[in-house]
Amino acid sequence: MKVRWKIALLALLGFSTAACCSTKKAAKDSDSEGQNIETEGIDTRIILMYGVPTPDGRFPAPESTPEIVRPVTPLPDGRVAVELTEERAAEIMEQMNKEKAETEREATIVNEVNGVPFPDGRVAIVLTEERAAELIRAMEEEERRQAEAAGDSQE
Amino acid sequence: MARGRYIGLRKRIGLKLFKSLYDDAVQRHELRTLFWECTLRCNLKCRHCGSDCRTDVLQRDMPLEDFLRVLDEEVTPNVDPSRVLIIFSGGEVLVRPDLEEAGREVTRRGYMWGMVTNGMSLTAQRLQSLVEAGLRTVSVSFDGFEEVHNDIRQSSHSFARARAAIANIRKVKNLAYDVITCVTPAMIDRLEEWKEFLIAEGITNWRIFSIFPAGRAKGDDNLHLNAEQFQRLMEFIRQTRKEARIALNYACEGFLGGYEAEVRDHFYMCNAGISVASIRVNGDISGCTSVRGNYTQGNIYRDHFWEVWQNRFEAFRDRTWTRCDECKECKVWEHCRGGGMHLRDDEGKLMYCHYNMLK
Repeated sequence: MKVRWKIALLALLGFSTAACCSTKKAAKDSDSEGQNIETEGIDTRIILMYGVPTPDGRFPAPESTPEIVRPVTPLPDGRVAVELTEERAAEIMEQMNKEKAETEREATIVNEVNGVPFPDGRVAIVLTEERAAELIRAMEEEERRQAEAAGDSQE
Repeated sequence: MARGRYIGLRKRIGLKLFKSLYDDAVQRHELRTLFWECTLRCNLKCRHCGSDCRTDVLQRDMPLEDFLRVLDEEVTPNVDPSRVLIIFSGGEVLVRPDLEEAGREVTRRGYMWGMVTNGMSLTAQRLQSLVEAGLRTVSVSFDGFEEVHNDIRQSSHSFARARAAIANIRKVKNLAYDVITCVTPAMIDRLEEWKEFLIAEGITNWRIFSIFPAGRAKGDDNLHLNAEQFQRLMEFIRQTRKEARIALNYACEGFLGGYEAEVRDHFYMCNAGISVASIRVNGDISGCTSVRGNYTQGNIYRDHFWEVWQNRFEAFRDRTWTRCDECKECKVWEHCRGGGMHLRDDEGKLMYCHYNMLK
């Protein structure tokens, strides 16, 4: 059984923290009454007897921490690869999620207009004016090509 | 209802699954925590100290450059530094004047670092300089109300200093911390009161351990909990975790039967030699710093650290040798594996069984 299955099973049994894939932490701001315990999906490690709690890796390192400088290698076309930072990755993920949500929203609208989805899971797409014009143009082009091909063969 | 030794079906299945995860971890033995016992000097003389101070007070501190050499030549080439936590331990680490330099050096190499302290000399100024040197996590010993703490620590100022140190730590943004209480019979009836005190102080992370018979604590019976007190302690931790007003964990001391995963975030496992190594003040290489002398696997002045980490540590990674004496017929051995390595004496005999303390 793969590790991820074991961890998933442990989580299903209610031992998600026991599998070291998340941990419970008290709220940082202790001044507020009725602190809630929040569950965070971080890779924690067992606190050793004479050890210390694991620092949260998401925290920025202190200002004195020197940045690790990696060499920048230009691509053949002159562009330069940019290191994917956590922030940039988060931005991209957010953009992807937005696009996905938008697509799902459109699909929902179609479902509402046209009824239930196809049994095989496909979903009807709204035919816009532009898309219709494109399709017509493509069909005309196809007809023209076929006619030319037929003429050539008669000759 | 008190949990005791009884392990329900759900937990037994969980333990079985966790056992195989543990086996995977043993096979990988990925180094995640490296203790550096940088000194054995201390500014206190605690009654329960587990260090071998009786002989080692004359042991000189390990020079920083010796530790850094091992880090640079034998550790860093083999690990991702950002995944390894270095813990400076002692003695009392703050007696070293070059602690900030040590912190800066390991931070510069990409490691996170933390320390355990009694808080005696952790002034706001010192804390600030340590944070500037990259300190990311700190644990402070805080053993009970003033009279109890001062009695254990054998110092009339220790409670006030530790309290002030914790207050300063809480003010530092992004510094992980917890306070550690060593629960003794003197505190067992006052745990509720102590918890309220800690919450009122604004403390959010708390760790508890109980005394095991080693070091100076071995001959002091007044420090040891009896079975009834131990079970009460487990119940207290379980209830406190349910309340969720303060994050409380029992230390990784031993297998706890029905209390598994209820008094700690995780199931029991001893990580010594699995993901934890230590470099002792004299250069010895071992598991965690609580483990006694006879389990030394090498010495940095004689051996290559990484070679030792990869190819020795058999006693830590295959614990079938612990299946003897009282562990021989024990039905929970497969989950306990003979208890923590620190609970074994020089001859390999078990000094203390947490499971046996439960009814």
